[in-house]
Amino acid sequence: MKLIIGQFVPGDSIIHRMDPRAKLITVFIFVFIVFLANNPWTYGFLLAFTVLGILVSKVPFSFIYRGLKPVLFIIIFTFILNALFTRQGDVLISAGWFQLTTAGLKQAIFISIRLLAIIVVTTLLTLTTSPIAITDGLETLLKPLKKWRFPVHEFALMMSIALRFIPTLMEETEKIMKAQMARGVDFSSGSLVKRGKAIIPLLVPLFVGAFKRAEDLAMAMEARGYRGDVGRTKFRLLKWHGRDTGLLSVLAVLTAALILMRG
Amino acid sequence: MEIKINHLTHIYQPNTPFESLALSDVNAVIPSGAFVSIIGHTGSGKSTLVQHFNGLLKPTEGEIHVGDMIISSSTKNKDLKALRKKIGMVFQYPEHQLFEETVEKDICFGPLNFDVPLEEAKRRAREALELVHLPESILDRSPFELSGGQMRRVAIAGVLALEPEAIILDEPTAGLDPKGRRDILDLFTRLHKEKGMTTIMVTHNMDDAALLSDQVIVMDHGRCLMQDRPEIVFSEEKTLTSLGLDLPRAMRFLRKAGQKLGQQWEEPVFSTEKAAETIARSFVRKKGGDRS
Repeated sequence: MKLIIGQFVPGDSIIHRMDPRAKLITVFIFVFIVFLANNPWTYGFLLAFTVLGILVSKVPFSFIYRGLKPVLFIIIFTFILNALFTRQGDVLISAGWFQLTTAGLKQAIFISIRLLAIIVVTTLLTLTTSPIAITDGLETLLKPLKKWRFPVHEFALMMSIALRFIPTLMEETEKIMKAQMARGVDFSSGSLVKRGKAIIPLLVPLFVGAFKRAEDLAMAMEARGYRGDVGRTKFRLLKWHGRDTGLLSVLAVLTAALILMRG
Repeated sequence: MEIKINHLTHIYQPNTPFESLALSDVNAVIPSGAFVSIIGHTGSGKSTLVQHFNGLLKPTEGEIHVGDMIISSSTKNKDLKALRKKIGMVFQYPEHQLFEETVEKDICFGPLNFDVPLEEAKRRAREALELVHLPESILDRSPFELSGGQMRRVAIAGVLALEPEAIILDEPTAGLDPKGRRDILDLFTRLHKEKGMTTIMVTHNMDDAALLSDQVIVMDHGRCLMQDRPEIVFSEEKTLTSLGLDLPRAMRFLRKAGQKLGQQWEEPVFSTEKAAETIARSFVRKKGGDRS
């Protein structure tokens, strides 16, 4: 089993090489400015930015599509809801209580573009940035919060450890499932109660293993002198390049255009 | 119980970008009552192969005959349960599968899943515990407070309590100390000899494969390259080295000793005793030769 969330596709495009901080800021701001768009022009800009992002990143469309698959249902659902329940403008099709109006169709398309743009851009972030780079970037960006005693470093560490162990846990789950299946457990049939009960022989060993692994990891880190971020230097230094300033400039232009062109 | 593998091919995650060919056109026969070792480099498909024997994986193509059952891609999951009752499986690090509050409950878990009455399951738990040389006093303890070696033996007892006709061992001694290793291997050789249990062992240890088994299957890149008696398999030194596999220790020693002594011993020798004997015999012969 492979997860798509946070799946990094190594590559060498300009977007891959950008500073994770620049990418994080961009995605963060983009999610907000998406809501500025309210007419065909502004939605066009959003789409253009998104498509440009995909093209420049050189990530195959099939990857993006697979990332979209789980949320495609939600997008289609919102599309249908908006199309059906907006009752303004000229009537295009009408059958009984069902009515499709021009305003409804427009609304549905716009909302779908909004969702699509947000999801594609965030997917693009995780596809082009390794999990380590993302947590590194987050840690630096959140550093100011330290003044208010927010444990920024610990937070970033937790995130990277969680990401690192997702595949390990999946593998372990599969292994234990097989071992219990060999002892006659049936995970895929029987009543709901029966299936619920079948989970226990899977969860207990999984938790035991996870705690044991956490203990081992803590010990290994301490043995190598880990004391939190006190006096810790970085192996990978984040460097701000011209391309990162470029990305933020493009974002600024997009924001300005959205504000100017919105009706 | 005889296991026959016909043109078995297995593809993981077919029709996705992660598709990978794990087994391709494997043919082999595991005779009833035999002790068969499967050797091969990491990733050669050993574990994938044995997981087909009790229906944990289904073939993508080809079929497997286990006794009078046939498993193919169209076999229903329902029917696989009957198969799992007949074929026990001891995974690598089997202690990871323990989960019950007491050792007794954990050992009874398997039999109860196969609708064995509670009393009978408890009787089997005691018997299995005896087989793995653990005292009955352990029955009421939590499996999580035992030592690593004890946990593994409890887990193995949990599989033996199913009273399978054949047993699959996937590197049963990984991570054990020398004594633990010997105990576990002795246990399975005994079961094989006394109960005539068909035993299939995946191993990285060439000594175990050579000394214990009637037949050795050599896997490489998802193919079955050889299946034969250990004497024949381990005389193919060149093939084995090219696959990244070693010879048994005794044979390696004889090769080196032979170079020093200007001698060559052709017949494969697996145990330390036999190796010593071989060398001693050649000295006696030499001496005898000098005298005449």
